[in-house]
Amino acid sequence: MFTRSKLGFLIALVLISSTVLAACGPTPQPEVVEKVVTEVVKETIKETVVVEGTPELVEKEVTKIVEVEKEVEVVVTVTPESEPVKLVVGIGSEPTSLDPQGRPSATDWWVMDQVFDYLIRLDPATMELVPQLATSWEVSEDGLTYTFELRDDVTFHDGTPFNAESVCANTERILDPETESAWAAADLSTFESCEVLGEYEVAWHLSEVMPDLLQALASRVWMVSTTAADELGPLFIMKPVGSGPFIVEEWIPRKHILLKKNPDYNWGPSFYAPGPSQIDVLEIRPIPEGETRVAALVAGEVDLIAYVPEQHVASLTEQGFTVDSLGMPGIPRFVGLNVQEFPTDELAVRQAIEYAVDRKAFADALYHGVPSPAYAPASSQDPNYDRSKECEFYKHDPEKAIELLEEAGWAVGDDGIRERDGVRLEMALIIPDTSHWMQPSELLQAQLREVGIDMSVTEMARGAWYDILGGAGSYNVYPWFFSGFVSAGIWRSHFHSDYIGTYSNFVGFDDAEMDRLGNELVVATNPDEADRLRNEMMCMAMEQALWVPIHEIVNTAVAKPNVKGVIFAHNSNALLHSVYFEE
Amino acid sequence: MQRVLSRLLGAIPVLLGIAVLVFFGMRLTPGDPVDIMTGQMDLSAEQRDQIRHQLGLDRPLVVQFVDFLWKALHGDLGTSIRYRIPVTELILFQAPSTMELAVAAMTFAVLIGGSAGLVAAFFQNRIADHAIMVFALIGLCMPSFWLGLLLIIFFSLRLGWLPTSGSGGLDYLVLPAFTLGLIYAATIARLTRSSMIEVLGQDFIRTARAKGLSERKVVLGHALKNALIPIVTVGGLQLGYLLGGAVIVENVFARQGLGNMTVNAILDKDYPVIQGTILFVCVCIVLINLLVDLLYMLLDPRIKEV
Repeated sequence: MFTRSKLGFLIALVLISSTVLAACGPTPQPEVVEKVVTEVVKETIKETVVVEGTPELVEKEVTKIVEVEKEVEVVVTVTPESEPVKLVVGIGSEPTSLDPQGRPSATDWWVMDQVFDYLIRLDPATMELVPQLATSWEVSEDGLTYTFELRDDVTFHDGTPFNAESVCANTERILDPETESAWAAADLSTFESCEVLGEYEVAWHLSEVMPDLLQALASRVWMVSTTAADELGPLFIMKPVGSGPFIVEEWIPRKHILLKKNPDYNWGPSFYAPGPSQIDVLEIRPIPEGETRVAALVAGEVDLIAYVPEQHVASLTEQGFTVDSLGMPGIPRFVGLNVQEFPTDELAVRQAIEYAVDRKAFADALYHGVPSPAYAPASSQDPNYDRSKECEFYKHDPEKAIELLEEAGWAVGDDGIRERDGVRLEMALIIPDTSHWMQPSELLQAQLREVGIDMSVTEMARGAWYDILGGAGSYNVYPWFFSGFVSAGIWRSHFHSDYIGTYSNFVGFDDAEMDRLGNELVVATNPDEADRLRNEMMCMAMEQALWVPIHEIVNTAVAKPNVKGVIFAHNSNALLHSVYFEE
Repeated sequence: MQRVLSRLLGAIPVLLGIAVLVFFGMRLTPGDPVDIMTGQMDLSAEQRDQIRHQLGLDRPLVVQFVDFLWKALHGDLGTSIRYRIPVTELILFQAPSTMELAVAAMTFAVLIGGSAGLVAAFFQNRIADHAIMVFALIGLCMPSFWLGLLLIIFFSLRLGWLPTSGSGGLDYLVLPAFTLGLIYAATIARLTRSSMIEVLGQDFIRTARAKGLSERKVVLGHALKNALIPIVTVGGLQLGYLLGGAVIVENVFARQGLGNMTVNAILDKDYPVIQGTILFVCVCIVLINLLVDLLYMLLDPRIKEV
């Protein structure tokens, strides 16, 4: 049993030991070196000389210049090796997998873009296709054969060379059911075979035309070391091997992903700085809570954070941090209106909703003015943005909304909600609990109430929400968006009758003309023709008021003032290869 | 020893019942894990069915359950649908962080709450008592989210004493443990106070005082031991709850832990992770209950005779 005095002694011992141990540690010790130095000095000496012309000897003082040796003690302090340059990044959520050929999510791309390369890249500034692992490419006239010339100086992180055989091994892996690849399989759905034409020349053969194949390659088809993938098996998702500017050292879930520089990296796309990265160590930390992420940046624990809460943007700018906001390409945040459910089956009601929504108020009231309002289903970063302006039919005009409803016979009731033949103008908005849509839903509800529409809001588990969208229950309104490159297939799936009750035609639109446009779009090889078809579909969707676009999704990254060189990819993730710390 | 063994054996049907509830309960709720996982991807119904077949989700439920149970008995809790790695490995990654947070939080809770409750009981109906009970009430009502952020602002940003977030050494544990500990301390303070007041009113305490023992010896040497039983019970329950993972605190402080992992698994309908984590937590709770029972016997020898 411990007596008080013994306990006190023990505590003192622990404290003293801790102090001693903390004080002890490897410190550079000075090194003493002995050197011999010669010095030139003037010396006055006495010499015995003979007086000229006489036999007399006299002593004379003579000044002579002599070299004198002396030993000097020189102390040289040993300096530690220079510290590696480390960049610490805070992101919003934990990646689920680092295998780009599996089923990655948006957060996973954040890491994968640092570890892997593409055959072709999309230049974020111009949105044009530029070479990377493929130096050039050719598409046959019938659109069924794609021939790529490859770089001959690329190696994967495990030393495996990159060549035509590795491209074919990659496509084989993507299409192998064992890999359970989803993204890539969707983008290579008509892929037939891969042919090695030479050590650095490869051809892909398709069974049907895929006009968006190159854009898809530049968006979400990365090259991996299939040798490493075969060796590691399922663990490849934790320790992937690519050819990118950074190499994964370790991934401790919910703690960090630690990467080190690839010193051999010399094959970045044209918008990268040349050569390997100046960052030696990259640490990516998942910090789910936005407030904590901002606190970590302000406290100096991280150098850059992504997914910054909008309310902090202004104050961080004032404090001197570098703020970069980029709209995500793709389809902005919108609500879809179910045309198969009363009362959103009426065009007048749907169009009234379009006029009733004040899009700018969403951005201002909820997101501190950061995202831009959206009036058509293409974000400002999307290649289709300019043409999409032709489909911006609705601006905020509550009076027009009221006029449309009254013309359709909906008269204002006692409680301010419109009625017709004793039936109230009510509708249901369903939102998943992971969508952060409760506040926007309340704002939407309030705006619709002003024109006499009573919209209820029901939040539910994501699984239940998908079930209802799939036909298990009734709904009128649902939120949606799509970030990244919108392929022809994905665009079509939002409106084609084949996809009603499945992904992604949750508006339930069944129109022969829309189906025809979609079918032609997925095989259109001429880019102008594809643009025209896509735009016709978009304008039809807006004329029919199937979607109510509300605001762009903006990805904001904030960095310390001395962090420079961050490049935003077309998918608005940050590319960190060219980052450096300004002195 | 016999008592310990019978407790452990008695836990087996409990664990089996929980396994059945979790397994079938999750599958009765709406949502399909493959649909959730593949979300907005442009996949046909056939491609989704193919993924379901690869994951074994198209087999009869009873077959899936027996398969799960048999593997669980051999230490194999299956493979995560989302992460494609063994559930055991996922748990081993995350459990140590949850355990250290749980133990540290309970340590704070017992030290702060226990001391506060003692003082409140000692100075019953005086200012110290009222002040402590007001703070305890605030602690009960205070959201952990808000408290955690306040502590980060004060100790990390203003004073720079502790890191804002992350996992690692003792530094990273202090703020999250203190956040949880303060909130749990409120319950322990109130319970300690009421338990001590009850014990201090008993005859044997009057006898001890009459015999001339110092007040400190009466309170700490005699009354406290008798008052500990309900505190140990509640402490055990709180520790069990914490082992399930303090989701909000893990999120605020970006800590590793079972809480967030389980919540994400529920949202993703990642059945193996949900089943495996709940079974793991249940085993831990069974062991904690056993420990609490043993503590009872240490604290109160009369319990051995029951």
